[in-house]
Amino acid sequence: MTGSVKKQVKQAVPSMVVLIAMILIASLVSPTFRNAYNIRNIAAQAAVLAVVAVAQCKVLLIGGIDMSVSSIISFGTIMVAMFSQDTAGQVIFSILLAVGAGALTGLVNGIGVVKFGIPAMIITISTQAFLKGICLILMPSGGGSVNTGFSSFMRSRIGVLNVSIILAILIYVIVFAVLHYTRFGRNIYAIGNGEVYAEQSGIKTKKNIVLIYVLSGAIAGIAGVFLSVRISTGNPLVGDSYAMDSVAAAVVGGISMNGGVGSVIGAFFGAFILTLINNIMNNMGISPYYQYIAKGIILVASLMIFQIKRKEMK
Amino acid sequence: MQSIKEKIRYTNFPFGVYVLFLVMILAFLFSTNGTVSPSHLLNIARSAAPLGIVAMGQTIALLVGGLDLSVGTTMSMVNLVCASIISGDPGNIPLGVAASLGLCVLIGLVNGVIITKFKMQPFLVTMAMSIVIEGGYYIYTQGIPSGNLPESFRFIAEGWWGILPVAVVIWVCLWALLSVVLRKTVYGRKLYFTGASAKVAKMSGYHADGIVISAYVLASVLAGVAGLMLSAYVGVASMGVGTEYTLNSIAAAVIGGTAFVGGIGTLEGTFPGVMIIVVLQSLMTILGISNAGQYLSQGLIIAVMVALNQYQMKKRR
Amino acid sequence: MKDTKTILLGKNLSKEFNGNVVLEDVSIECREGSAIAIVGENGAGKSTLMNLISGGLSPSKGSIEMDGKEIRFKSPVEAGEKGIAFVHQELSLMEEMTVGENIMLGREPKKGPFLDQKKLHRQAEKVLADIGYEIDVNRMVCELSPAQCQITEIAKAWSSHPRIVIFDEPTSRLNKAESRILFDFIRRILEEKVSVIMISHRMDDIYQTCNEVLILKDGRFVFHSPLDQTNEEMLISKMVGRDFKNVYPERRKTKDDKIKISLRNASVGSTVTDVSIDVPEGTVVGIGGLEGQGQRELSRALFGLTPFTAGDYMIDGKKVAIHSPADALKHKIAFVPEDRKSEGLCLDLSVRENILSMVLKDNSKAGFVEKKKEEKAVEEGIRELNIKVSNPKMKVSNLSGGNQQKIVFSKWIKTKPEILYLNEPTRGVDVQSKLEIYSLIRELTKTGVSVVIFTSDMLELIGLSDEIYVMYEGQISGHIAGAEATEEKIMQFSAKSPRSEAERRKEA
Repeated sequence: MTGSVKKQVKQAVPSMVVLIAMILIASLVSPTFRNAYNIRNIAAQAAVLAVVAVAQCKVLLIGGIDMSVSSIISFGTIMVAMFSQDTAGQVIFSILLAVGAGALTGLVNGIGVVKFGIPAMIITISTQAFLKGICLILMPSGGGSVNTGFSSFMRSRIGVLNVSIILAILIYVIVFAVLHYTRFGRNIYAIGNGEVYAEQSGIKTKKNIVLIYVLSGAIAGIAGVFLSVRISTGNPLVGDSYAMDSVAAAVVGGISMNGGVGSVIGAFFGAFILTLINNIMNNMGISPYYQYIAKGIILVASLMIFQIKRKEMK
Repeated sequence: MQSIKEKIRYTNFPFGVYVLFLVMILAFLFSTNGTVSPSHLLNIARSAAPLGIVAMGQTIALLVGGLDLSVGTTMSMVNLVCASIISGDPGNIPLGVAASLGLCVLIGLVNGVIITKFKMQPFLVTMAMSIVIEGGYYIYTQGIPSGNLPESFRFIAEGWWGILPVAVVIWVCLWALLSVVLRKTVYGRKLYFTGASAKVAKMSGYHADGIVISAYVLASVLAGVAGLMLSAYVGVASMGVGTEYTLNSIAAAVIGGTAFVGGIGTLEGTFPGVMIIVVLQSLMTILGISNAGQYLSQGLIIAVMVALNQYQMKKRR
Repeated sequence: MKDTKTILLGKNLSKEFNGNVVLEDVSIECREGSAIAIVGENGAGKSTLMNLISGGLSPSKGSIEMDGKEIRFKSPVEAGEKGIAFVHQELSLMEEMTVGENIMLGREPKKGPFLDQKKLHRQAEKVLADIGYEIDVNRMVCELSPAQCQITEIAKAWSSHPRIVIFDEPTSRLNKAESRILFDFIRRILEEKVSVIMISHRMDDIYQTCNEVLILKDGRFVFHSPLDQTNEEMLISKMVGRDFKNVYPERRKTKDDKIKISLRNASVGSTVTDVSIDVPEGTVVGIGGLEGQGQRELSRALFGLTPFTAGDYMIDGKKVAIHSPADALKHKIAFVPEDRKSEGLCLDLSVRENILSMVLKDNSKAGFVEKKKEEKAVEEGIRELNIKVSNPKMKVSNLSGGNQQKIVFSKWIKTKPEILYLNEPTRGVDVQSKLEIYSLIRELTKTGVSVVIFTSDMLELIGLSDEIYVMYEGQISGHIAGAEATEEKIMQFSAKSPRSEAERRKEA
């Protein structure tokens, strides 16, 4: 690793250390945790969040935010549940619908930000609400079913890992390479560091920003497909918590909310940390209600820690 | 004539949204073939009161350049807390109200302090707060809401004074009070100034942080009052009654011309903003898409109105 | 001067903003191997001219020709592609990237679909070596010193192989040795038929590198000549071109003995060290020097925005502790900040609200504002400062720089201050407003207000101050009575540290 890539990847180190520590402590303390079934369950659970987090992470890197991922995920589950019943062709069609809808939502977000100057938070909250409305029209409550061949494929194992987690890792590898080793990736970091200066250096910032939102939406669509396999149905509300969780995962993984700092690897660790916290709390028999509080506090606390740390460095 | 023109040009009174409001009412009258009586309209206004009150709080948060995404869950929390404390006994009303509003003050303080002292994005802090509150009331109720509200308490939502609904009277009184505070007091002026630029406000010797914190406290407390009124409607403790109010309150403020940059907007605009949303949503109910329609309209309204505001500001520059 | 090929020709360029003419009928010719110095006071139109020929602005009148063909740049990027590089005074670097990545931004070498990071850093290293500096290209920009940042900025511009390079105050962050390397570099590229334009306040920069000089004043062309037919004094007199006495109000004849403010051995971190200043009541004390010698930090510390780290700060002979603007207000201190747009005014609010912002309490009763009193205060403010505004409810952002600055003054004067700290009070202000502000400052001193003015505009410093202190590298390098001050004296103090001055005397 050379140049700034090293520094960006370094941002993920604290989250990696925390994750390893958590895994070690949990496996020492709890035999249920060590259980292979439990570990695979965590991995499958984390795979969905990890994929959303990679989408969120790219938007955060340009100093934006994407709250619409939650509705895109719900929409994705609905597409798969409505259209994938019989043939493999239908499965592919439903996946394309899920990803396409995500990309389209991203396009609206990107244009709203770039052309109309709407704050990212606001435009993505708007598209989140709008798409949720469409979800509720298509499927007022959970239902439909997922193609059994497809879901057993996604749940099957290659070696020790589920196909879904392998696909998630694959997405990370691709995004990592794009972000750190292509000109497009370099442009993203440049925009996050200073949009005006990036523009002065000849980078077509507007085009790049729109593209980022489109990609973010498309990847969130993929996450929706993953989730549909896990829950075996479509549901208009199932994605709701993912907007916040994906931001939290990215922030825990050392990605700055101000843009330009951090690496997707951190988001991967962040997603696992959040999933682990849920899992451990469940294993300890703590009411799931406390998990809400834990999530909120973790988000604000890790933001504060990074904020203070970065200020000191300057 | 010239001076009137000048006055209109430089006023910050949102005429446009009142015109829009009138058009909406006319459309509503036509679409229902004029079968709507004034008392029907007053009834709609009555049901708008909780949104009206919480939207004023949201407007204040927006005016200081922030945003409060925790108002919805705050309302839900107030519903659960006051219903369980009062649990049908009029004697417990003071305690229930005090406990609810006390919690709101605390929530607003925490929001404001974290936002100002740690310089964190308001939407993140209030969003995290919203999750914490949600977890808090789940733990408090253990998932089973209990308690109900006595007739005497429900009067604030159900009662009528002559031809006027009590809820509307409360709403309008609060509106008048806050409007005077924002327009006519030193505090109100400082709030606008701080919202327009916290940096300049600090340079001018204002306690800018204190003003911002007070705005979040106001937003939370108004959400609390709205929550009390909503509880009076519902009559019982019920899970998540306030959820939709977060986005609706933002939409109402934004329709009324409040901008996200801070320092721009009025409560006079938020009032018709609230009415427009409520009328729109009763239209959706007539069309039979109340639940989905609510989200569709929220999304569309916020995006379009903010885009329009931004466009106007760009033009004026 | 040899006859060489013309690269770019700007003919009769004019620029106006909202009817405000900032540049009128100026022509410039950039030839291969020639270096033009652009000289003028702050606000003379230098940056406007540079922005016109580098695509940052488009001219209201006049035309630009490149290689004999008329051309219109849509953006600085387009001008960059055509071979015009602009090294701005303010840095435009990506803090979270390496030196190499910054230099090669937008021109990264590729290996297949991927960036070739190694080649990138090698290329960047070569660019730096071309110029003559050594910086580790793998270091992050946020870890660099200001001088290294400046050099990276220059390297970034040079890496695009430009035909014309514009330098805006390139040595403001460099020390002598670093500047010398830059001068050598400029002389080298001139031989390679590159054209150079240099904006600088330092005469040394100009005489070391340039062969032509173009002088601007108040947006108009004044003088153009080969540099070897000029000398420093000549340039300065052309640059000033007007009589001090007509512009600046009369100085105070008698000096009050009462010391209002005094600083003893005051320091602010490492940017201001060991500063001692006395300000007599009812006088104007000017703090001058080149830009970035600690004036800004000192002024902010005086107003309580940053703390003094050592020394005493006394008002009326009593030690004071001022930790915030609110504290400063209690001591009847007013402060006109350097950047009125971000610190002085709320641009989105009205003239009325801005003028009243400091005196809300005075115009209120029991927390409620009194409309009549306010109307009167606003009307007075607008009249006293001759602010040109059709309606007090107009947004401040719609006004000209001069009127905006008057509003800042009005806002602060309403607090009836006894002490007034001014930071670059006439930057970006038109001449007429400037004069009005000068006479206002003088009027205030007559009522007993003590004024400290921080300015990099030398003429303003000399014309306005009763006493002058010059700062260099965070210290006071000289103290002159206003009536005896000349540009030469101040320049001497501006460019050397007090220590070396003392040493020199010892040697002599």
